[in-house]
Amino acid sequence: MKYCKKCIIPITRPEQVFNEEGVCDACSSAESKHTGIDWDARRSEFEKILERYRGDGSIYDCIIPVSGGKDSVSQALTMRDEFNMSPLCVNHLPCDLTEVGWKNLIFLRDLGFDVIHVGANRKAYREMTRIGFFKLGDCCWQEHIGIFTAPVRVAVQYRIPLLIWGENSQFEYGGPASKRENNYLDRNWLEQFQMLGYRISDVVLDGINLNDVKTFHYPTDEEMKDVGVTGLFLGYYTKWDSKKNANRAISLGWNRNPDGPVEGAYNDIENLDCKWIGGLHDYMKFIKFGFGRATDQLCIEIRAGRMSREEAIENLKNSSEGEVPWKFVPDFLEYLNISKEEFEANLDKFTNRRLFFCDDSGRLIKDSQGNLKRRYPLWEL
Amino acid sequence: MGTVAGIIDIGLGNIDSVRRALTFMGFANQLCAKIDDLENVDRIIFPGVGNFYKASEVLKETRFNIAIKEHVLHLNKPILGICLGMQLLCDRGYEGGEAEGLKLISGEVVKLEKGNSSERVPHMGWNEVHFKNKSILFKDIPDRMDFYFNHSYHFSKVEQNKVVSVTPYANGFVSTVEDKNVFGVQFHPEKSQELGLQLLKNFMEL
Repeated sequence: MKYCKKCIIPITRPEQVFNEEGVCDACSSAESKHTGIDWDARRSEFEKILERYRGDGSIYDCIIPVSGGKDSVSQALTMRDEFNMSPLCVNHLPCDLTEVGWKNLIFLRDLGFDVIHVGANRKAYREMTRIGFFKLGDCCWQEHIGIFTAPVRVAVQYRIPLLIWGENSQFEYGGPASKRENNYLDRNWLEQFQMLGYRISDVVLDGINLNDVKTFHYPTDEEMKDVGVTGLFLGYYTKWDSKKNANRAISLGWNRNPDGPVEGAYNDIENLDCKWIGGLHDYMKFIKFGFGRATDQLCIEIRAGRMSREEAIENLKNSSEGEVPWKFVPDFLEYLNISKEEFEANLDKFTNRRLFFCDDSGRLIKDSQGNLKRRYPLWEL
Repeated sequence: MGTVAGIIDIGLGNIDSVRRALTFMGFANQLCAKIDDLENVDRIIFPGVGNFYKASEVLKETRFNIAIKEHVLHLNKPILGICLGMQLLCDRGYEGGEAEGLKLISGEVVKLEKGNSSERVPHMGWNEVHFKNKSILFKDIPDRMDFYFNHSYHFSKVEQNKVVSVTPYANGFVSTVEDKNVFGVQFHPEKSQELGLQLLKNFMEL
């Protein structure tokens, strides 16, 4: 298995392109982020756009989708305090919010922001989660639709045309080159990158009534046009730095994960809000592609010039990436009303056997805690 | 009215799952947030997650340390400690500093030591429970079945006849203790699916 020569991302990452020197496109675009972009020009371009939307403070003049995480807190502060906008924050509630996640959402309001929470019908949501977990191999499939759909629906319903998204994940993590210059997030982007090819209309096949999942319906083109909805990536106009966002939020009293790094991750500042997104979602990515959240986070450290590749490899080796995230598994089993055996069998079904050791009969080899054994760990290459 | 379980609710962790499990099986239960609440119950369930030292302080502040012993030792009500609640049955613990336990079962609570490099502390996930002594708590539950654990400390220096089960992790640790009407499990029966529910049922039907 090949890994990027500069960072530690493996070639198994979907949509990843490696150039002739064996460098991934996220590393290439990180370079242009440091050198090739005139950030002042981008900023004035942004200013010009905002002038068209800025109100006198009596109305909300933009929507900021928020999770309560460090990035959304920073985004809200930037828009209000640096660009003098009056944002309305929209939060899509996850299936099962963690305690620290809830604290941070309250913290956002304590900073002086209004927040609308969109809480989906939990009965239908559970069935959506079931599709994500069993059919698509992503326990957070439904969540990804929700977080991108809820703010757009609120934009249409409140008639607030401007949406300010945060980073462009295709830019930060790598993806098809054509998408990198995109600063507009539309239904096409959502369906292509977030929904794993399973459209909302497809859930009917799984016995879900579309009327029960209204919060997941993306507004129609007519509705969008009528309000003039425009989505912009703040990360396109200002230099996006998650670490800076974190420091800023923490200095104001934002909460890190109380028990140290989130399961499977390297740091304690990402994916804190939902019980499954931190551990299980990233673990499912690991069994499919052989890398998890710690790898992503360490790659960002390397690209930002804060860590050498060698240090990153050592940190990866010591992280809990690739270990079954047992902490919230009992809650997940209870939520879906499934047995531990069904849960494990489904994980095995989505495990790429070319990436993990199997015994002679083709059964995955696991240690006493149920952890798989990588065939191609970076530290043994 | 049948047997009522009192779930000690003094901010030591998630009591909801225990409550849901009992309600699901049709056992009457109520939360006990102050010591007087113990008067109305026939069984005491003491769940807990978090830090031993802090928990010990809370027990003292709320006077639950005295009340629990009163109800268990003098009124003979059965008690089931779960996770930190089990650890607190001991004489003393060392998490977050030395602190007193309830002294219902003699022993000390110390940090788990990794048995090999692939093991991690906290010990989190399903693991086997190997019987050492027969117990009514495990009625209709076979030996060596999996239960859900999530802890960094364990009950040690327990008299052998009070050890009901051990678990093969971190060189083996005591996962169930019992002395007359005092029971403690290091794992979370409320998160261990059918077998966990069976264990709670056994406790309620003692």
